[in-house]
Amino acid sequence: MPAMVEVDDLVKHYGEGPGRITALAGVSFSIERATITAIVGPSGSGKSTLARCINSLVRPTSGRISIDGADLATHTVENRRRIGTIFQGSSLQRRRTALRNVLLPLEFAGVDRSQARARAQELLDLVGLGGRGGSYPAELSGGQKQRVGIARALALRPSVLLADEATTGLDHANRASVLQLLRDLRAELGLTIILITHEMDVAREIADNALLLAEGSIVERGAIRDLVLQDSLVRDNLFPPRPHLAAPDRHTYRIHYAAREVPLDWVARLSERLPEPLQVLGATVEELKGEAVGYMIVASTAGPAEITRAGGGFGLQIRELGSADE
Amino acid sequence: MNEFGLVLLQVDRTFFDYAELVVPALGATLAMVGIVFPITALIGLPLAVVLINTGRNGLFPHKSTHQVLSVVINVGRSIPFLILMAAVIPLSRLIVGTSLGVAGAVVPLTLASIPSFTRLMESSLREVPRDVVEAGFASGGTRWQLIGKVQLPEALPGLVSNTTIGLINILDGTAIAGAVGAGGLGYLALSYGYNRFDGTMMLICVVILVILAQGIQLSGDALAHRLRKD
Ligand SMILES: Nc1ncnc2c1ncn2[C@@H]1O[C@H](COP(=O)(O)OP(=O)(O)O)[C@@H](O)[C@H]1O
Ligand SMILES: [Mg+2]
Repeated sequence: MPAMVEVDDLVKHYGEGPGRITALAGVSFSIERATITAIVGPSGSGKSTLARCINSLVRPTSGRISIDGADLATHTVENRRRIGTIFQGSSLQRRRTALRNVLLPLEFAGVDRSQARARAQELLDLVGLGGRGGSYPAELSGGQKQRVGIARALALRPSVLLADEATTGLDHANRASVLQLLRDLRAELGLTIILITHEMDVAREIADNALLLAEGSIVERGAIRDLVLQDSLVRDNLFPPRPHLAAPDRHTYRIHYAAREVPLDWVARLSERLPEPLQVLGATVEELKGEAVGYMIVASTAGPAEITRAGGGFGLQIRELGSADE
Repeated sequence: MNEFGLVLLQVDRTFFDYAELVVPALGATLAMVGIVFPITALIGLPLAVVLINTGRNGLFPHKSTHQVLSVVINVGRSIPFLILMAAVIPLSRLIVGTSLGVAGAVVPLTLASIPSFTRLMESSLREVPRDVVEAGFASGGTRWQLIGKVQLPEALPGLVSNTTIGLINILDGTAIAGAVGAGGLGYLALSYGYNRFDGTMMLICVVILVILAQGIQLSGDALAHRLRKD
């Protein structure tokens, strides 16, 4: 069985000649079915361009995209319907009620009227807005509008759900509920979800895998959990280095760990193995899909080699701060 | 009674005398608007749809078509109406058989109103957010479906608002056309009110024109308001 999404050497230039902009400089990856993949990266790194190539809003300069084995270049209209897109903010029609917004793709596809209405109502129920079908977008909150957008994206039973900055601009509660909905959809419908976001914590909360784009190229990829526990750019984005205080004669380190893989008393046990106890300068623990993952900033008289040796058996990732790459 | 004989009736007109002149003139004005407006709308709205969708962010971008259309519209809009009236006399004769009266005014009025009406419709269509059209595209719509089910219905309140402006522009045009012989309220106001110093006639014509314009404006606004859902 082919991967659900396969992208092969995708290139997109905007404009021509010397002033042309390379938004995607040869991007290749594949996405397995029923996974949630976050495509992250700074503004201007090409995330939206990638999304717009996948949902046919932009024609790639070269390269190939296939969805469930079908080449996007060959069956465009049919394949557009294989991908449900959730847009940023309100892309709903202001003069259609919530129900009629969800109906739109079904009308386009020529689905029989009463069948379409039943389907649209079912989708509104699914996103928790069963009672709001008659409301116009102006009468709905940002989170509710986004749910209607999700229902619309699901109308033609797509196999891939693509969201470009779908939670940007929502308040915390609304964002959490939209993310929960996406999680549920993956579980219930086995959807393959691609989330494009510049908000790293969205990726942390919901995604299985991440692709980090920079200047049109993939600079990192992998399971979020692995990336977080490795020395990675994704991790530095999720847990940005923070300012710290330490005596000048000490080395400072950032130690990353997954809570269930390290002994509860690792700080004490590591200290025992060192000439002096660790001095803790700062610490944070975050939930990564139900698992506690954290890092600590510590100071020690021990050098990098010594502390790495001492911490070796605990499953810690130790990196010296203030070294050239920090 | 013919137009020239009326000169003798200047003194002490009764209500009925005025009515006898005003009612047919009102009829002529309404006839001009009633013929010119539907033709203008029927040509202007599709032109606006083509204009917007051949543009850079349109549904079927086509630079040369867009530019040619745009230039033609701009040229059309910049020709003063009076000059256009004179310039299209041969065309009028060809199409409606005369360059005089209501029939003669219809061709130049229509030609003059299409370019500005097209721009009015275009600006309303432009108000539909790009995201909304793109969402329609991503929902699997064909181009025609996107025009019919997304662009036009979403722009409808703005289209109605701007149509009232277009209608009032046409009403204005009939007054100018009237001044050069097409008949209607504009003709009456000028030939009696202005040339023959009949202040009452001038006032009646102006009041009726104002009421017509106001009526169009208010009903257009009310309709646009009812159509707006945000
Ligand atoms: N329609 C366009 N025309 C020209 N340049 C564009 C267009 N869309 C995006 N770009 C450029 O392509 C690059 C990538 O943009 P984008 O894909 O929007 O990145 P992101 O979503 O990560 O912010 C940027 O330099 C941007 O300015
Ligand atoms: Mg973007």
